[in-house]
Amino acid sequence: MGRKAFIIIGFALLFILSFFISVGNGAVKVSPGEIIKVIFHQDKSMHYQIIWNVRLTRTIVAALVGICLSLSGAILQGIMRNPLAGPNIIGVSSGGGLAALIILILFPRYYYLVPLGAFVGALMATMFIYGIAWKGGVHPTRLVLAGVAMSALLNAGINGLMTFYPDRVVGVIGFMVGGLSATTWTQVKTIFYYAMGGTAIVMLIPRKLNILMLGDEVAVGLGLNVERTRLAFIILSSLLAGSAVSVVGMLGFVGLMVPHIARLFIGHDYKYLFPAAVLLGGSTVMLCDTLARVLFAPAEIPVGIIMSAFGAPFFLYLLRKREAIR
Amino acid sequence: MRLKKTAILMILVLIILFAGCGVKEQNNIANGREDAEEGEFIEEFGVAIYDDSVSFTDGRGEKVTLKKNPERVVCLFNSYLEIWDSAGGKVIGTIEDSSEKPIEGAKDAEIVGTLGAPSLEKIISLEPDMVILNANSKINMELVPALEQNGIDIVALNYFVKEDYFEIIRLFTALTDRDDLFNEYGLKVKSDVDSIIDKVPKDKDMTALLMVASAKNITVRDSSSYVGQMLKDLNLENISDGPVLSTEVKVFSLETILEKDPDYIFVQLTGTDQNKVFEKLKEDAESNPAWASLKAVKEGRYIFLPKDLYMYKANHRYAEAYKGLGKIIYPDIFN
Repeated sequence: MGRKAFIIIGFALLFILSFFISVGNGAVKVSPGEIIKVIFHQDKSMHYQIIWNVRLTRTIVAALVGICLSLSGAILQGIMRNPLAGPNIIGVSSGGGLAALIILILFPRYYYLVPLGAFVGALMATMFIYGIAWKGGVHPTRLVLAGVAMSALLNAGINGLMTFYPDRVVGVIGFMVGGLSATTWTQVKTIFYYAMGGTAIVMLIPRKLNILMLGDEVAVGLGLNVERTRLAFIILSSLLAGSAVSVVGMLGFVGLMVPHIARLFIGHDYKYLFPAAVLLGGSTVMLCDTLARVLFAPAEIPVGIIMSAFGAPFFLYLLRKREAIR
Repeated sequence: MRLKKTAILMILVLIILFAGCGVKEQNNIANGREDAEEGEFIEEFGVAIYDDSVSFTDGRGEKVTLKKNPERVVCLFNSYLEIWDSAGGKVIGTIEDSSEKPIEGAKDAEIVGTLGAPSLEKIISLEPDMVILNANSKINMELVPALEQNGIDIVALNYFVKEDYFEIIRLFTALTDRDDLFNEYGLKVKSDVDSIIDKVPKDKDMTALLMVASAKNITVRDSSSYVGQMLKDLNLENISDGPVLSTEVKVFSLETILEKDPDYIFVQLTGTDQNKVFEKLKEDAESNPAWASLKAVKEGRYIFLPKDLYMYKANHRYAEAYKGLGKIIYPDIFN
């Protein structure tokens, strides 16, 4: 077995460990024995409610969100051949965010449509950016720049709404920084199919991304329909990130950072990079959310803050320590 | 070389000293009016009332002295506008009213912007002699230096709990010189509230959680908040009280809520157009197995508070607000 396989096994163990850490810790102390007991004998007790309906749902949603965002980021960094690409760059965060804020601020009575609205907003922003960047084909650099400009425009809308309706912002902040405070089994169901479907698809086609990474000319030479493949990947990554944003809010950083961390360990071959990003993305969000719940318990801090506070320095450390990323 | 360094150091020290003197001198000027006012005064609710001026410590912690009966007043915060109006005050400028509580006396006033975006130019163009604003609002406080440079008096206030209300109504009625209105909207309200609190049984150990209606997070407020204080006065223990992150709104652990299983859960609204939000949130709570397992939800003590008294400040209707909660918590006593 090669070194890369060992690394992936290591990430898999980290994923499993993170899952147990996340289920095992929270504001209320529940012993491991008690946890196992309530999972197997669903006795409807208070501890059962805490483990089964609060911690387990939250852990699963955290893992799935991490998977979706990091896969989305890994795909985008590949097809745009740009290390700064991430779900934010194709307008997922700002598009989803603006749609969610329009609902929460202007039509609060329809707040239950926020997940759907955010999802649709994210997809529409992506399609719009793609359309603007299209000029007989989509050049990655043009796509990135169109994305930056479009995100600025959408963020202006977000800030405008918050300026004109400051009295309604309280209920909105949760969405802006991303959080998992009130996850339910419904949300698990919402995101489960996207995460699993997306994972299955990208695991089957790493080769196409590897070819795209070689540059458009080489890819065409190798018989790949570059534009169609790129569009398919963009839609896929928008679906993945959009589903995550619709459930937890604007939590974009994972999508940028995790694929790079995975890359630093395992290299650029998507055959290994995809599974590594899936496992590492899930572990990162699970661990960060555990910290978010436990650090100031019973108060919670949004997981987005933990992610940036711990993730960014760790990422910078790796960046210095390891060879330069592309 | 050393001499040069010493000289530079001395110059720096002198500059700092002189700069310090400058500030001190300015303070003296600012307080000058107050010094001149030394004489007979009465002090109530932290407000010192002289014959023709009023002195108090404002929301910035600064001691401020103002002339009574200001004629051209602009108010940038609608909770204060309501109190100013009940104190018999008139305004020439106000912000757009999103509060669903239109103030009759302010309907002819110029609109100088919105809560989130008041227009400095518009305010100054009205040539006010006093601007009432919210010390807790960054947007409001950014206007202060420019207003002060234009010689406009600033009334920067904080309003979190009922003591703040009594201080504000005392201040405003002193400025308008209307002691009759202070008796009606200040002293009477206070004695009504006190008599409600006196009736509250002290031997019951009941707990509550005060939540903010939110689509996304479980956000709560503790006893230092507006409604939180009322619940505490009514002898309910707030399960989110504690030394950890005592902020205005905090995200709270659902695990801890399940563990402490409070007797009452009150939900405060944060915006308009929310009757439908009520229904939907209630439905959500009942369909979520974790929430549905809570005593308060099962036994119908998951209560959405009407916004006119519990989202907006109750002001002169404080006694009504206390009584409303009293009826829910102690129906035998208050019905």
